[in-house]
Amino acid sequence: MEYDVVIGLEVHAELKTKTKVFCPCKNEFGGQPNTHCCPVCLGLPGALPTLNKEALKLAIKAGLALGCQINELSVFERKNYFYPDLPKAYQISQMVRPICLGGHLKVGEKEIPINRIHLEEDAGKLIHSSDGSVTMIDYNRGGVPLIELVTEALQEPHLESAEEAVEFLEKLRQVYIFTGVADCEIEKGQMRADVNVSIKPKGSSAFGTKVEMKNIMGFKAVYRAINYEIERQKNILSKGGVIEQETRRWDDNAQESYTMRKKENAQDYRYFPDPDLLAVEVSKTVVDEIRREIPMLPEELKEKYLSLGLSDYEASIIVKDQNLIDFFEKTLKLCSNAKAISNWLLGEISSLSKDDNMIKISPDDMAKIINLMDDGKLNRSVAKTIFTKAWNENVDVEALAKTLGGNLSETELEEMIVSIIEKNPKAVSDYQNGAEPEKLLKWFVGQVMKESRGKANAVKAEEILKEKLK
Amino acid sequence: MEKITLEEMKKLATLSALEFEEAELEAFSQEFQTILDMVDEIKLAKTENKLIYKSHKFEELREDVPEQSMPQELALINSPKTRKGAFAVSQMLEED
Amino acid sequence: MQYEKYSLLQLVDMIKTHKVTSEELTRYFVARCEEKKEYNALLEIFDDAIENAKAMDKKISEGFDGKLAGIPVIIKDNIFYEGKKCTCSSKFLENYVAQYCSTVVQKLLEAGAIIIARANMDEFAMGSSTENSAFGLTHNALDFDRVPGGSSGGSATSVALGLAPLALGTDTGGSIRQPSAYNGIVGIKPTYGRVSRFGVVAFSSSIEQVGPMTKTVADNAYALEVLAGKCTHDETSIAAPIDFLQNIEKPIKSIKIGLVNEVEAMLCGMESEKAYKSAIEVLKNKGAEFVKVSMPSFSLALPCYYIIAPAEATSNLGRFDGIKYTKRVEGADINETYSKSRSAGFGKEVKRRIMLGNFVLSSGFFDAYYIKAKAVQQALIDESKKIFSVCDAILLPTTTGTAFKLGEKKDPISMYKEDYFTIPANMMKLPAISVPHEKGENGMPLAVQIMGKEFDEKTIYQIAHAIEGGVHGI
Repeated sequence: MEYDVVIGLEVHAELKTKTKVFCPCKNEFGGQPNTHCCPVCLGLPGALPTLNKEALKLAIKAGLALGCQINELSVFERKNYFYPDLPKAYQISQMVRPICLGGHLKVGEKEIPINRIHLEEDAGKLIHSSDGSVTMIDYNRGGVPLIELVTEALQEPHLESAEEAVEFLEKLRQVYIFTGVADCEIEKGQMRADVNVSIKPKGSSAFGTKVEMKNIMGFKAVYRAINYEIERQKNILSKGGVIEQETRRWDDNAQESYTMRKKENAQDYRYFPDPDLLAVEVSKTVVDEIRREIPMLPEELKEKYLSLGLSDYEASIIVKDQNLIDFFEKTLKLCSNAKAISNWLLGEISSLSKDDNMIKISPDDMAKIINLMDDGKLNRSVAKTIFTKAWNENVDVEALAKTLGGNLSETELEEMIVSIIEKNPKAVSDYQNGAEPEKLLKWFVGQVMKESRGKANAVKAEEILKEKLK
Repeated sequence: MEKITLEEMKKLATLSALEFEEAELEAFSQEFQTILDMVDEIKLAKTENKLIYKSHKFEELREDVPEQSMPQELALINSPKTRKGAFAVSQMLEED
Repeated sequence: MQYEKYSLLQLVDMIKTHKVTSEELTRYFVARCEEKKEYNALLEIFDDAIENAKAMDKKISEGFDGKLAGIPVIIKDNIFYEGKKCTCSSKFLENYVAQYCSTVVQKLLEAGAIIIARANMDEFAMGSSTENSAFGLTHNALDFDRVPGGSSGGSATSVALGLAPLALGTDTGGSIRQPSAYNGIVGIKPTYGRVSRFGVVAFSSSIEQVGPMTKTVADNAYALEVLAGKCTHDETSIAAPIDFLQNIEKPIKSIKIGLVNEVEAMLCGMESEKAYKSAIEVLKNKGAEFVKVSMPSFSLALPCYYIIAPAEATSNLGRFDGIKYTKRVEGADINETYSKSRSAGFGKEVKRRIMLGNFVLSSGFFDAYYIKAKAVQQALIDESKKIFSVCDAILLPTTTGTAFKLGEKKDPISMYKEDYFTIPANMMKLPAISVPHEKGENGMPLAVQIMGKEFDEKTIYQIAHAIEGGVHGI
């Protein structure tokens, strides 16, 4: 029997703020245990949370980058349950009115719908003692701002394979990094995913039973966990069994998952509005201001580069590297020849910066070189010489162009060409009546270059020659 | 309010992370019933049942400026069990 | 000198004019605390009080003139004073040491106060008689066989006994006003948001406030000026003019006072009716005008409170789990450690309210109870707004009668009904002050309550001052 697979994702990402979401302790990875803590993030009696503006702003930014609606009144609730990594026995989260609603992210040709993004606090970290006798609790991570994105698995289109799920995560990561919302370093646990999988007979409209897998670290593990789960469910169904609604834990070392919690033991989180926090009004003005800070996303940039005449290949390479994007964008502001910038960037610049990933020429100098060439004041070989000089030391590109040549003006060039034509009547008549005009044209260009000692622009010279030799 | 059952009381005890002897819980559920009968009075009120939130503006939120955290010793001072600068429990637990 | 006979304002003046030093005052009151130990009003007398007073005297001699410079003050034991124990009268927190200062303590210290002791209370402020303390009950200052009221019973008895001219209490449903009434002193529950809750162990976050308990209305207004203000650690605190003493001596002529029909019907035949009627006479003679008003939801405030307060308490008290602080009782697994620790740590009333809170929050009941209660609370607020469009304040009794006998109220419901007249101010988030007036047939004090508009403490102090007979307490 063939099955349809329905995959839903809940993705947590730690926001890149200076302080925690509800207290002014440093949001910093690592450190001695319990040294980035205060009464608030330790959950001490009497302590009260105060919401970090930057955390909410980054959550809004993430939402805007993904096409979400921003809730103009956003509410924080308490999610109540006992666990040692949760010092207050409740997590401050958002249930009824999350900061962002809706939105979508493109995976392949599919626009995967997003249900919501909400802001909440991270829990502390549990560490096992080396002798295996105790679990140690470090609250440094407690209260670090998290955004949780939930996909809309009940709508079409949805994620249907491990490949798509991983592509979604990679794209999402790119968006978060690109907008400066989160660093998403997987090994630091800055991005974590819960995955739910259900399968149903092909074409059936009724959804299958959902199985959730929590806290999977790393995209490869997500891939393996999903495929394992699809197979596990197919196996059960093919033997006439039923899928139980449950939460499972993926053990990436053992390459298998096991039951964490059955549905009948599902937690009743008793959400209610946190009486210590006020709801937050986010005006259109605030949203617009934040929107203006969002750089173009890779997909959008690529579209733009294609429209500027770059090839698909060139555009794809540039948008993958923030360094290249920055250089390209800055140079583009000073010089309109996008294709030339791309050629330099993917040619000389890429090969010179291969080892240290440092671009040692300024966009300003690059733009000058390209503009001088386009004006016919510099030929390619002199341009390269100047480029190499500019790469290695501080130089005045325009002054250098003058001394090294290539600064033959159009009038000077024209005069020179006229005089060469006058001196070579035989060649002229051969060209005009001849069997091999192309060859003779090349010969004339050669003469121009020889006479100008390389200071002429060959392309320009050819153009003028064609005109004068008619 | 219908009568609250002993089963329901047990579930509440679990949610509350409290334990009771069976007899204790029975006595408790009787008191509980009288309290619930008392609070049930509000069900008669005619109200529009939606939450109204007190709010403030985005602009009024706390600025993202770090302040000094607590020294580790002070953080741990009331803890019944600590290990290497961390709070400690005797069970081996996994991240939830 | 018998310093307990003086008001807070008089003592402030005596220190300012160097008629007495902080050390002398502190020694005197600390000795008096020791002397009156049988009342069990205090859980601890701080051993650094005299030292702090000496240091304060030096500061005063150098020109320091804080509003409470050198004045001994007692705090309820749910308010954090860094480095000092804070137990909330619970076995669970028996050895808990406050790791930071509450904003109110910070403000007291900045004003120059000498905090000399922490006062007994009902465990986690849940109760109306201070009989729910894990460290023994407190006696009424005026009758050893009677309750002091609660939950701020230790603070009330302390002020009435003259153990300090000022004590702080907290009021979630009447916990400052009812014990103040029972001990014949003055206590206010300020407008919600007036005083920072940072560093005050939370019971019901959306309705509780810290407030001063004093012997006179003017003392009270003076002390609240020290405590009030927007706090950066408390989003729910609000900036509003601090002008409590401004009108206190002003005649109340033509002030409009509302009398609530539903309250008068209820009060008929109760012990407190005497104080209520007499207060109306006093105010009438001083030129106040009275308006009959209606508050149809008044009686719903009590059931509403017993939904919202336990719901918030359940969540607020989750952090007492035996892991980071409080006593741990090890179990076979982590869940057992939680339930064993919590069952050993919390007293019966606290357990009852935790269970109740979980009931009203649990799935299937949330809408019918929690959401409904919030809607009723909104209805109460709307009714109060309507009333305050035609009057400046509302006169209410504080309690149904005088302090009851220790052990008299055994079932929870009759204890809960103790707060019938005080709870509405909490639910409506309005300021309300209790001022002693008249005595019952048993010679115990009665009191009336004046409830004001949001942030209009100024007017209720003015009216309370007009009712007040003089300095109260022993």
